Amino acid sequence: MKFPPVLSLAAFGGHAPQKRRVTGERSVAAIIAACVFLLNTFTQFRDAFAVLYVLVVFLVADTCGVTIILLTSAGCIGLACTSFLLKHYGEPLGGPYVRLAVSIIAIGVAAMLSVKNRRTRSLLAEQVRMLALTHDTVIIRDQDDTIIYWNDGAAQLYGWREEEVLGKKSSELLGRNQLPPGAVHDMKAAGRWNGEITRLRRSGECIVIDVRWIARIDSDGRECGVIEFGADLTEQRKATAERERSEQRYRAIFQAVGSAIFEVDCSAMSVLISERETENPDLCNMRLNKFQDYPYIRDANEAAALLSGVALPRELIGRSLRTLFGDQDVFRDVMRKLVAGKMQYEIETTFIGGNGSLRDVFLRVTRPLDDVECRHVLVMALDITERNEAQMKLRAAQSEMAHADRITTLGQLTVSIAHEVNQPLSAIITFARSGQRWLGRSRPDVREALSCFDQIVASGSRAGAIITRVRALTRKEASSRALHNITVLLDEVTLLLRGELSAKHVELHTMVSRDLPLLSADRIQIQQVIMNLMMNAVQAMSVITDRPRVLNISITRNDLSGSCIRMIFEDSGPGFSCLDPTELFEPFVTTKTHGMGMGLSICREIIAAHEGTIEAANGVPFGAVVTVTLPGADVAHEK
Amino acid sequence: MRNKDLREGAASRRDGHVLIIDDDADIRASLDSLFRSADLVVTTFEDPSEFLEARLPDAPTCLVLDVRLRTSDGLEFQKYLLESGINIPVIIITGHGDIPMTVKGMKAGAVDFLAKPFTDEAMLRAVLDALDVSRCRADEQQKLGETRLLYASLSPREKEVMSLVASGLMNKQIAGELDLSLITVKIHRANVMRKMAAQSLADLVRLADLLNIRDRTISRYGTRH
Repeated sequence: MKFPPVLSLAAFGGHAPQKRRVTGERSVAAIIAACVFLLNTFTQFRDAFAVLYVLVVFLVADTCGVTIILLTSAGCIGLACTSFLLKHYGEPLGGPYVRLAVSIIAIGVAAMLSVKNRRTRSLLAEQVRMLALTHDTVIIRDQDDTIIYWNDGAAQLYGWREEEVLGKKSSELLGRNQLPPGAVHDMKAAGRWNGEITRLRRSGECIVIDVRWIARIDSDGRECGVIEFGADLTEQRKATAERERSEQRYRAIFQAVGSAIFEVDCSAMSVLISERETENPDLCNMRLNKFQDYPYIRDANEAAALLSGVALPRELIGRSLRTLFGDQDVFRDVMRKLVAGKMQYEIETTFIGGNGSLRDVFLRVTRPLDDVECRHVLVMALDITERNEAQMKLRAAQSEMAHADRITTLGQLTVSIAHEVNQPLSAIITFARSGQRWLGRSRPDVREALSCFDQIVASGSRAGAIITRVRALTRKEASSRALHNITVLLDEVTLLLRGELSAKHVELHTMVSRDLPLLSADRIQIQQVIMNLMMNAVQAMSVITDRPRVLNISITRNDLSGSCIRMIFEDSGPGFSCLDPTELFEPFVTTKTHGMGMGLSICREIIAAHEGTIEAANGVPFGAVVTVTLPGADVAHEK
Repeated sequence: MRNKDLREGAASRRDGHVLIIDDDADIRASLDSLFRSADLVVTTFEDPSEFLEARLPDAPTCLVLDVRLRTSDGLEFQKYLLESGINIPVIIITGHGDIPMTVKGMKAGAVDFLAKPFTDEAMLRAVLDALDVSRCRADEQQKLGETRLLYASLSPREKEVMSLVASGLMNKQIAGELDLSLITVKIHRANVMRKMAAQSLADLVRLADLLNIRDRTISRYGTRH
């Protein structure tokens, strides 16, 4: 870094030439001190030679710090005194004493001035360093418009290096331009002027600069040029324009986007509730309820107006956000999450739309990163009412279809189920009769009769259980999940199918592992899958006459991920003729004469809804193998 | 009052033994209780194989058989029993007694056919009837054995004479047929009547029928071919 000569005096050490100069000056000072001492001591001139020590002090002052200056002065005074003692020791009070005093005073004054000067220069050096380092341009011109200082900022902005411009006329380099009216007047009157001027860069490009001119005043109080501070307005203007464009774009997106956006000032919330208090919902809710008008809506878009059932977005401005929520619990929950420092929060809830109708919305609450005070929280609401309705219709259709399938299957089972119910009923009647007989004997046998009554109760419960299962399967209700033990579900289905299996001479072997995870599932749906797969096997095996009809059902934990349940249905039938899964699980694809072809299709729907998989394969050497995998409750819970 | 009759009837025929094959434990237990309350001896079996392993009782016996068994068909088993010469009256019970099945069962010699749920009277009546059948069969069997013994005591000539007498030939015709004198035939005939303990000619014919020794190709009015 180089400095104008006038300022380089104040430069700090560290550069090689600078150091050499410093040593040189110090050597000169030492030599002068030696000469003065010799002359003063060994010549007989009467004049005050010692005054010349002042030179030494000045030389040292130029390059050294305050301490050295003071030490040097002390040294010089010491030398003057030594010379005096050598020459005039023992002399009576007279001329020599006066000369010594004058010399000492001179050296002292010189030292004082030097120290003061030194301090001023240090201060100045710091200011210059600041000027040099600033990004703004700093240009100093004399009264002839000649550039005498040019900082790095100026070099960067205009493209001219310092050594190229020093001594040149500024108007030649930077373009001769019209000064705005009033500039000259202001400079004359106040010695300063602020304004924008257009300048040329080295590349010829025009740039607009915001400048501040300060008149330079010389020691006589006359004007001797201008100090100019400048900042490039081009970049600033570009940035402003960019910001405006960005702002417009944001507005355009904000207004045009299909989902409703509310900008909400939630700053009051974080004041009302401290982050620590969010763990106490009751306290939070109480505080929230006290301030019904907060948080309020700052801005909203067209879609928001449409969703809220008002004509114009601005009607929403100033309204409390809570008036939109259909469920105040959700509102309080959202607020709590926000105060707790959550940057983004999503939830499905309901909003109150036009005419007080409830709309299903998917809500996403976002706090911009820089919005520490929650002044511009974005609440985006996607209206999913139609989607939900469509989904509900689809679900209803699926449920309808599944119900039809269950009824069909149960229809096929009517005879065997009737048999299963008839068995216990028959037993009940017989038990009742024989109970009567035991009691009606000439010596009534009460023990036998009581045993008959016990048996009646047991058989009655058995018949009841079957009826309950059938009723459960015929009922048409919305899907509901609960935790179930798969073994129990299987047992209940086998209870219904027992008659059918026996009528079709199918041997059923079940192998169920212990410690199976529970299943978070719809009981009826899973039982429908089990029933369909079992019925498929039974019906497929009805053509088999040359080998036993065997249905193996095994339920195990999945080997790979221990929390899955795997059910395998293996029969000894003819197997699948087509294993293409796209065809196999399609609706209305059937190989049976009396079948809708819905069975496997419904199984797939149900299993997919439970996040499981179903696969079909052929066994070796014969038979079909259907594998169903379902996630255990712990896995589903994590999701 | 009907119950009383049955009970008294049962008391007089205390030796009845009812065998039950049904895969349903409740049905088995209920029938067991019912029959025991009627003072019958009961043995229950879950499936036919278990039944075949057991030794049949000597007393009058009947079998209550469920058509629908877990591992096999009741009617098939009834057929099997018949083919393997196990002569025991069978009462078939069924949960869905349809006509074809009834016909099939009856043809195969079932003495009764009951649809579940059945009344106790019907069941007991059927069982007692079946036990009667069993008892009759046992009597017949005994009679046949005795007759066979008597028949074995006849000489070959007497057997020939008995066969011809039973066919309805006159003594003269028998003498001609066997190339014997009329007096010899008369002696043989008298021996046969005595040895077979026949009270009359009709009695002898019945015994011959029982033994199935009547030569049906011969008749009094000429030989039929």
